[in-house]
Amino acid sequence: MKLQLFCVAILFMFLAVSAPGQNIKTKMAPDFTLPDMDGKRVTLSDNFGDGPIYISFWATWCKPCIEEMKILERLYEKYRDRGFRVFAINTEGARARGKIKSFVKSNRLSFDILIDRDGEVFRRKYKGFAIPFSIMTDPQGKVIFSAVGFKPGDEEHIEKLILQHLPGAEDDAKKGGSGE
Amino acid sequence: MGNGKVLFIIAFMAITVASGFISAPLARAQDDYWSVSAANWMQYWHYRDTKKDSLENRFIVDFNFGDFYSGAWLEVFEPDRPDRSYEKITQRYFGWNDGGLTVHLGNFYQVFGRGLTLNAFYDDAIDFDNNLDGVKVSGIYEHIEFDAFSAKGINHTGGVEGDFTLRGVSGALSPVSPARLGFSYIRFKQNDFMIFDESANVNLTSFFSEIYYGPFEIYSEYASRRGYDAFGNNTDGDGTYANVSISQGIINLLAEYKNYINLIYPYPQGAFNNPPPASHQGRTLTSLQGARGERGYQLGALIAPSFDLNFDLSFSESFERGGSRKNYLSEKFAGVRWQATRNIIFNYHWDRIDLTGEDEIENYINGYFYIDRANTVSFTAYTRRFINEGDEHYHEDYLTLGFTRGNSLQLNIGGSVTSRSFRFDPKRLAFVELILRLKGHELIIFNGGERGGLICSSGICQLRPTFEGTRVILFSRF
Repeated sequence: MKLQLFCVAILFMFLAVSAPGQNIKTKMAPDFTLPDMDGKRVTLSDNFGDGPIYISFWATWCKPCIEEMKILERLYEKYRDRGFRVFAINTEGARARGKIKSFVKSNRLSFDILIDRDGEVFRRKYKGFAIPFSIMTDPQGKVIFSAVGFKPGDEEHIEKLILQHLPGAEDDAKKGGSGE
Repeated sequence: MGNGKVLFIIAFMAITVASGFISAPLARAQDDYWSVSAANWMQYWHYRDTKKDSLENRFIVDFNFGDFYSGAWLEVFEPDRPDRSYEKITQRYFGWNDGGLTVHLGNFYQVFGRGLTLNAFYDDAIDFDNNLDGVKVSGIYEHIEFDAFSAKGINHTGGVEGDFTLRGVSGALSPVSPARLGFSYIRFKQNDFMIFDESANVNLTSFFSEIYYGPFEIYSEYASRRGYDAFGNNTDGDGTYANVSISQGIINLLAEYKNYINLIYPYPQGAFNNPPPASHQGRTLTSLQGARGERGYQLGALIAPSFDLNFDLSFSESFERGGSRKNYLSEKFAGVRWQATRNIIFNYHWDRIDLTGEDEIENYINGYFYIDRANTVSFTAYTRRFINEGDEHYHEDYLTLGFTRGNSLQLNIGGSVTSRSFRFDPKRLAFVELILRLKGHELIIFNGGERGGLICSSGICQLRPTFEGTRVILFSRF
């Protein structure tokens, strides 16, 4: 009886919180300052205003994260000149720096790799619970996309969102161009 | 669980749901000045053998008001043993941040350097939480950074409890961009020590340096410990950690060295400091065999001819320092990740661990086939062979098949077989698992049997028991 009661409560909760309107998309991305691979400090809000920002939480042992990195590198190379930024935040902490650097260098990743020193950004600020966990913001920092998990094919949706929020995208749309 | 407790939990959930409804309009109303966010994490277990159930729920809420922030963790724990149940606020914090400077009151986590003097962190996977509760001031500026705190040590791991006081300060200076020099100091006091405690009063100091130069990265840290136990006996110790990585073309080489004795306080399980493990799986002799010290190294290579093909090689060894037994741990690891086509990906590794008393060899293969944009099938198969001191051989074999539809539905079926009867664990176990994801919510329903075993992270290891029954996990982010 208790189990049934419990399951009903769970189902109720799941349905209730999944109701339309209960969506992270309405929020501003929480601000953070984290060190990059060279020890330089990067603040999210300093990058608002240029173009869409893709924030990805990852780890070297996470296989789907590696798939996502590959796609992000391609998209970053394609749109970086138009203001698109990528912040890949490693969740393994400062103690794994050597391993992280090995991975980044050997795979020749060119976007910003940041280190979440004590999990404050992943757990407290972004309420992360599994990786890969990704968020994309518009140029003003408002969250326009969030997802847990990654698989090939997801890049089509991500690229579409990038194109919609690149500077001048509205002009491109009016002209009927693709934005690329 | 009593009916009162069930009602309490349901009421708690109702509050959570209400918070979800409240937070959405608040979030929509927010501007840069203030915001609200919340998350709820719940795990429910029903044990098949005892017919008992257990529940853990954590509700986390955070508020931001301009430069100020605050938050709290509300936890309900209803295990199958009623005497260990609680409902309480386990963490609460309040702070102010203005660019580089942060003043924080309440619970926090903190790592100094690579953790030789302080490594207060949280990891659900190994059920580890040693947060600090007090006041902290941090500053991060272009050429200088510092942290200073005074706090109670809150240790939830391995049944270790005590009245711990920690005070610490750490600073680092970057006189020129590729170099960084720093120090840390910790003063630890245990106020309710027992006769076997060796860390009644301890001071630790460390100095570290980092250099990033082109393809090179070099880090080194030396720590010393001065202190005494409950009887006033000297428990001095020291520790060294260094790592070097070099990148050249498609090859990246990594070397790590560790050497410490009597450094960890107050106990190996649940310690407030811990040098990096310098092994691929994160195992240490301190965590596995209670060694007072270790001397060891790891050599690794990551070779990436392309993003679709990665080779990962590692060799590590460590030897016990101090103690009567000369324990030994070594690991040889070889892995490959290969994306054969746009739709097919394989991961394979071979891992051999030689530990005093037991050797373990793991062969692991995992593959994904992306049928189309929406549907993916996957498999994971691995086998572990064990050879223990008495020359007893046994093995554990695992297989999981998965189907994923979009990002919202995942179904896994799997099982495991072992040739050894360990305690009362069955030799054969099978399970079915359903994962549903909707917006910021994830629901996992598991039914069947999951074999226990050793799990390690960052030099801390826990033995997870075998589970048989039903488990429901719900995580929601509002």
